[in-house]
Amino acid sequence: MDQQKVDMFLMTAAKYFESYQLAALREHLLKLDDSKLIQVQGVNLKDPITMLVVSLIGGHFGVDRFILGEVGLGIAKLLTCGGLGIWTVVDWFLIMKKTREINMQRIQLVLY
Amino acid sequence: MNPRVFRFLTASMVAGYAWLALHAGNFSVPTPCLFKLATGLPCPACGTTRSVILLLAGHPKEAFFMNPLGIFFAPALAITPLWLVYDWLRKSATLSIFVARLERNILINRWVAVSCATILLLNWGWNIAKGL
Repeated sequence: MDQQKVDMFLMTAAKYFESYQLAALREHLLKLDDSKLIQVQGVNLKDPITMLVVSLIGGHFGVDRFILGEVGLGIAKLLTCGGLGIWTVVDWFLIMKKTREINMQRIQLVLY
Repeated sequence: MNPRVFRFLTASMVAGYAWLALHAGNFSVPTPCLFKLATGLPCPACGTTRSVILLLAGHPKEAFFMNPLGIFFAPALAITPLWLVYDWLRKSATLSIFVARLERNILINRWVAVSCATILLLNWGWNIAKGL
């Protein structure tokens, strides 16, 4: 893909990834064929800030984990009162990093 | 087995057993539930500890009426540590493969998900009605 398109995409999508991953991601996107642009833009990325809000409100019921696609962990969280309340609080701090991790995994499925 | 999954499961088992041991034989368990502390209403899983304790004390009927989830939790609590030890000794990953398969093939099915959610919501309604 040409540089302009890649930079345009990264400008809007930078918040979905860890900052240290952006350089490598840019390299990969530059090598990618133009026809893949639609696929790259179509990847279902989650906004870490939104996930933090979800975790603060619905984390006790595992909603954050369900939305990230981790159904098993979501059920575990739901059925244990949010891991006796501890897991809920731990996830308030971890969920943004986890969201970015899962976003990276999802976009990698298109890149390779 | 993936070491992260193994550590997570082991930690949750230790936490679960520690929690149970702390309240064994005590039928009025102080709630750790953030939802209940915040709103005064029970969450879908409230009463599970009391249910397991009742079951251990030999009152299956009372355990069911406290919260039916306890009936599912007790066997899971009994089996998972044995399974973990088996996997650890054999250096295999049967438990994590089983969980991954369950997640990918069964729980993702729309009908299974909808019926599980309905049962849990009904159970939640029952919890609120019982005033757990």
